[in-house]
Amino acid sequence: MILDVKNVTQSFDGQQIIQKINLQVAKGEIVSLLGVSGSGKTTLFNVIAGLNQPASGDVLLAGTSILNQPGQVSYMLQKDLLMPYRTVLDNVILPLLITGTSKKLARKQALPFFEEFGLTGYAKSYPDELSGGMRQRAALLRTYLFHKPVALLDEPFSALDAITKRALHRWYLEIMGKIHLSTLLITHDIDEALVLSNRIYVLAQKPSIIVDEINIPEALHQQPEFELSDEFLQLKRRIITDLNI
Amino acid sequence: MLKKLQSINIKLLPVYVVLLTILVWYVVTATGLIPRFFLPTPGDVVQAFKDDFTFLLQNAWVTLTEAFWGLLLGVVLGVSIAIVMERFELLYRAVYPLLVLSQTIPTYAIAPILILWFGYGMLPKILLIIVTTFFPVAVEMLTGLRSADQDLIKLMKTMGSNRLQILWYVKLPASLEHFFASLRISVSYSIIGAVIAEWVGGEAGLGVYMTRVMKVYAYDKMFAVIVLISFVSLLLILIVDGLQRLTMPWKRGSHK
Repeated sequence: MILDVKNVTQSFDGQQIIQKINLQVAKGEIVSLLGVSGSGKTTLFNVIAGLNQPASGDVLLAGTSILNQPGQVSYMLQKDLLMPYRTVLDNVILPLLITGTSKKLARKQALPFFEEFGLTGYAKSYPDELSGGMRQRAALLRTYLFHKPVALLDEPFSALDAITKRALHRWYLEIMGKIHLSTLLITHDIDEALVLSNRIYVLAQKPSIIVDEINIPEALHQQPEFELSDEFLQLKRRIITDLNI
Repeated sequence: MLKKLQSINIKLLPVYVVLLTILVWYVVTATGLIPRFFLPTPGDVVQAFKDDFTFLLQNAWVTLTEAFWGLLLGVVLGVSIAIVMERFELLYRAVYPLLVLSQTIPTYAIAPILILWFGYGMLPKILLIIVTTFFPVAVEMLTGLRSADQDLIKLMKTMGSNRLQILWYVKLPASLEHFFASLRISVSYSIIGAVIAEWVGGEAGLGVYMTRVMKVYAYDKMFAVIVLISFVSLLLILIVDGLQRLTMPWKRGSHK
């Protein structure tokens, strides 16, 4: 296991936000954490990212605890958070600059990825000139250039319209097949979780505990119309039952 | 087409107002409606400007030098104060009210004290300009630094960046617009500050020139120097605008 979250409990003002969360991400795996808004998903991410200390529990990255150590995993938030005052290229190299790579070298390292991330010709543009989907891809490239073994994606596609989102999902699966980034993805979109993940943890609310773990066999993803298949609907029904909605 | 024509006219509107004012000025003075010793004609002012041109430029140079150093040091001080106050909340609470209080003291009132302490040279003028220019910069910069996107700061933290990197990559760029807004104010303050300090006492400068021509009732020269001062201030503000466009190239693209 590349990422191992063990018994993490977090509370604020005496109120428990998340309770005894256990989850694992294997190398190269895309794992979703599915739950309604306000179920404490971001709270858990803040703990994994080392921004907050949990009330109890531990987070292991390749076997070593990373509690309270920011900078160990890549993090992508819902907002693309591209800096309007930096060109796209200078935005995506930010994690490299932070860790001490020279600007020249960082640019050289980042440029070859522009084609893969659908950003060809936009290196010197400012984020304002990009479409919503492109901005999100640029943000993902920045996340990838963290060069950390695990990426945390906090609802990365939720701000996009349905059509852009679908296109981005396809692109995402394709690029993941090439870069094999171990990913823990937060989402409240059941379809998105089913389309993108190898495994899904379903997070219930009050208390926020993991109520189900669903494996999605690779064979299902290979089906040309997985989203319209009976298997898909069965899994969706199971999740709806889990969430009690 | 009509819309375009209108927008051109609207842009030229201030020019028309200025031209009209000069025309009214000319009519009331040339016809003797207002006595010439009271209000010189536009022609008199231009003539006075021509007569004293070299002398005016020499004095303007002194005033500009004072304004430059005062403004530079005032801006550096203002930015530094803002950065330190943004970093240390307690210091902000302790010092900020005093900063605001310091601005209730009229410039004209402290100028004589500064002259008394530091003599008739440039130092008291520069000090006065620092006192008047640092404040807008400090206040605006503080607002700018605090306006930085908290999520972006969070993202920077997940990248393992330190305070200095967050300041450099997030907070300072976030306050650039505020900085230039305050710089525009401080630039005009610096010229006014220099002139006021020179009124109170000095050997050279536009303020000194003004007090001299006033004493001999040379109002044509008085008007000439006033026009020169506003012209210089306007020029400096235009330079600040140009500087802003150079520093913030991403703003240019979005106007398309």
